[in-house]
Amino acid sequence: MTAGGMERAVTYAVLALFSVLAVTPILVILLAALHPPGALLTGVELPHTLSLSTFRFAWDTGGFGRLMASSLLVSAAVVVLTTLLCIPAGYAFGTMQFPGATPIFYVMLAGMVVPFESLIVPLYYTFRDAGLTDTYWALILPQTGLSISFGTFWMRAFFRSVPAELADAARVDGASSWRVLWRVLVPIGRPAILTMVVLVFMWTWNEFLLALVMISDQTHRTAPLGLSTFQSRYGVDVPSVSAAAVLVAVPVVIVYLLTQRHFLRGMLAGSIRG
Amino acid sequence: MTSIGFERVVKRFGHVTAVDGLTLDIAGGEFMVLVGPSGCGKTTALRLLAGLEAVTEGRITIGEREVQGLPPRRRDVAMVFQDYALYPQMSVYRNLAFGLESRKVPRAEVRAQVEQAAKRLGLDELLDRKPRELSGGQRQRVALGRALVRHPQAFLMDEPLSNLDAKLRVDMRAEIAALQRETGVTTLFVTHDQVEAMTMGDRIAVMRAGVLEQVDTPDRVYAQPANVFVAGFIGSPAMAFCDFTAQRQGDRFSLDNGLLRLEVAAADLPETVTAGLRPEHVRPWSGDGAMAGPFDGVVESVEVLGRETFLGLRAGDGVRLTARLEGSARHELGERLQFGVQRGTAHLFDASSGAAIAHAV
Amino acid sequence: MFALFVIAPMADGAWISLFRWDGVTSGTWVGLGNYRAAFEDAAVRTAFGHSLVLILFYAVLPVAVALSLTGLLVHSRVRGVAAVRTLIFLPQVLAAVVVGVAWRWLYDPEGPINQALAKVGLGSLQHSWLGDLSTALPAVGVIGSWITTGLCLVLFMAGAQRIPPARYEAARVDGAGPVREFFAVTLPGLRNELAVALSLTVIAALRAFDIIYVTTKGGPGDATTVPSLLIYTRAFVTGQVGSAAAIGAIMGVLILTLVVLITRLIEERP
Repeated sequence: MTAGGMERAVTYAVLALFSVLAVTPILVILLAALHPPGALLTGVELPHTLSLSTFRFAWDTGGFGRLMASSLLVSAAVVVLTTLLCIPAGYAFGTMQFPGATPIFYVMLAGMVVPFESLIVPLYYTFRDAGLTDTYWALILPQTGLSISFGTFWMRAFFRSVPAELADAARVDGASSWRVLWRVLVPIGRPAILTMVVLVFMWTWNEFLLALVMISDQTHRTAPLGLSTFQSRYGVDVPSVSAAAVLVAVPVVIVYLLTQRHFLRGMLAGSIRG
Repeated sequence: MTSIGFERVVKRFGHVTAVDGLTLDIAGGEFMVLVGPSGCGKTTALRLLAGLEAVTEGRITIGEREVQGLPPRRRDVAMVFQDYALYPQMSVYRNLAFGLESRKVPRAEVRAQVEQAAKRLGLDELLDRKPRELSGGQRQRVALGRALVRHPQAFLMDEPLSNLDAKLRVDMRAEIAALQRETGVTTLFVTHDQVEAMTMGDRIAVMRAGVLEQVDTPDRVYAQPANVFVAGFIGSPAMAFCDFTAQRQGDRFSLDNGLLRLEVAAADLPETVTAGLRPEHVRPWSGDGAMAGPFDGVVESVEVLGRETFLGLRAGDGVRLTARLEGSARHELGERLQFGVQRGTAHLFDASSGAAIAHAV
Repeated sequence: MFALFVIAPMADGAWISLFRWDGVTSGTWVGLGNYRAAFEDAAVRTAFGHSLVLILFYAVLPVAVALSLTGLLVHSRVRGVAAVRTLIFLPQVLAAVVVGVAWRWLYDPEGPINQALAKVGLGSLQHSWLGDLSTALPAVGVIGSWITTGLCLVLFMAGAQRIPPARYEAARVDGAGPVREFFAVTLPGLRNELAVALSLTVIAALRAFDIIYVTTKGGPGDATTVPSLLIYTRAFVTGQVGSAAAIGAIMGVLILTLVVLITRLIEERP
């Protein structure tokens, strides 16, 4: 019994240690952001007065209102497109047999692991030739393309996990394939779909390289790109840069905290795309 | 009332032939049970009828219509699944209504139908519940209700009772049989349980390895099995088989294998035959003239069920029989026992083909 | 209606084919020369060498730490770790740019790490962590470890919870000690999780663009230059588009190969 108690204590200690390690850098940044703009810091210092003025300063000078709006628009578009395309595609891969299904599926799997870093050069020149750089399309379309790989894989796994009898029952009950999908399977799949939505949202919101390459004008920048620019301009102003970083992180962290069960499940269930 | 016909139906999955030339006619209003060991193709046959699988060859008719090209929703059949397949996110009401709504039945009509079916099955109190809030028996009723409410041409049932506990299963057997008689809807019921088959079916169809072995009323399948397989499959404990050399003696034949000797009346027999003996015709020797014997055996197993007792007997190499005794008889494992076989009860089969030659001889 | 089912794979196929198109066009420019040049290019080799070091920090170290901890803690089925899990997993959620900004401050000569060293009397170790040729790459690597360790730990602990207790009981009845138990029960039970963790972290290490772009831009000198950074600078700064495309292709093939290899080696069913 005491051995078990010991072990339990060690477990908690280890978990606590790792939690602290995980959180410290975040707390350090939060703390720095509470100092007034332009303050020169040495390591971890408690601010003399508590004020959120730095956030306001970073928000205004960095133009984060506009940046956030861009990011939100792009993320929403990618999420909607991905969901609309992946549900039927996953349904097809998961429940039907059609010629070429296996090779197409393997190509999609490859799409899950190949990162933007490998694709960015051809992507950029294609979009430049199409005159689409410096538009939201340059962000939405490639991101949707890569998300579809994961989304289809994920929804296929979901549709495979649903007992085949359920779809059979609906078909015998007189439902068309379309009705089986939207009336019977999709309502059951809400948790799986939500997982896909939050993961795709996070990936899109956090994507940096694509925005860096595709976007050079002010109006279409996304939040991470804005943060990077802000940092190179105000690098020495630690409180303001920290505040900007916090601002960029907040939406994703909120979504994460609200839906963390789905986050973890999605990442743990073997999503290969990181 | 709608008749159903399978005509030389073949279904192959790749190189595997699941259903091999099935021809079966189900009369309008009949309760047909399709029974066989797992993997015999009975569920595939049902799914072919429902339209959930496409036939490879042959014709399937529902009423006058040839249906093998039609999707399930155009066949107007209702199906009850092994795991019920209730829609988990829908209430009982919506589960029952789904099929009617899929067929664009007017709303008021749907409500009337659902309420009528719910009442018949005692589900009226449960209409707002979700499937996960129901017991196994209640789920089973909802699954039945979903079929009932549609007033289909045929009920297809795929081992619907296999997930229920033993007592509930007996109740639902009676209930399903009663429902079917009431509605008169032609029914194809698939099961691997020969007791279910015997108790429920107007006729039963026995399948093995994709091939239909026999179709007949339950008592005829039991009393006159078409071959060794059917004889061994129907009846529990199973019929015992042993091979004999047959010798004509006047108008009778004497069967001998060195351990047992039977005399049977038959017109003609091949040199070697397989004889099948049911447990109820093998008993400890009592000197009764209606019995052939006595034979020597060793008790190998004892199954005391209270009302009756089954003894596994070994009468030398390879000859094993089961004997049925009234009440709970006391016998020890390894005990030597003299037993007899009731005259005029043997089933004879061709030793090589397994086909039946004579019954009750 | 069936068309809709095909559109989605097609859209994806289009992106993949872009990747092939890239091979074709670079072929029309200099043939395979780009690839040959890439293999002979010292800068490219250095960059992939750095990737190897990053794999150590991003993948090997976190997986090893998380695995041994899981082995150690496997019997204490603690309740209420949800909060802990939320925290440990948090670094995985943040944008890499945000993480880079945070760690740049941590590593700053005036930053918290040097401050902490001074506090505990190790002032002599104070350092411009990201500015020093010898420490820049490991410093970046540590950021990677910070991001991925939580992921590995959460993955393995969740996996270990799913190993049926009867297997441990059987091992104990068979007389296995803690070490044999780890290799006979825990490790095989975590096969799938191990494959996922390694795939995710190796990919992260090979990409690693955002963090490096924000913290060091590959410097000082080429101390932290990685392939993804080379792709970016060559394609969009110095105008060596063909070369960048070739490096991109090599990287894509490398990642694919590694992931297939990892999955094949570890998972029970390929």
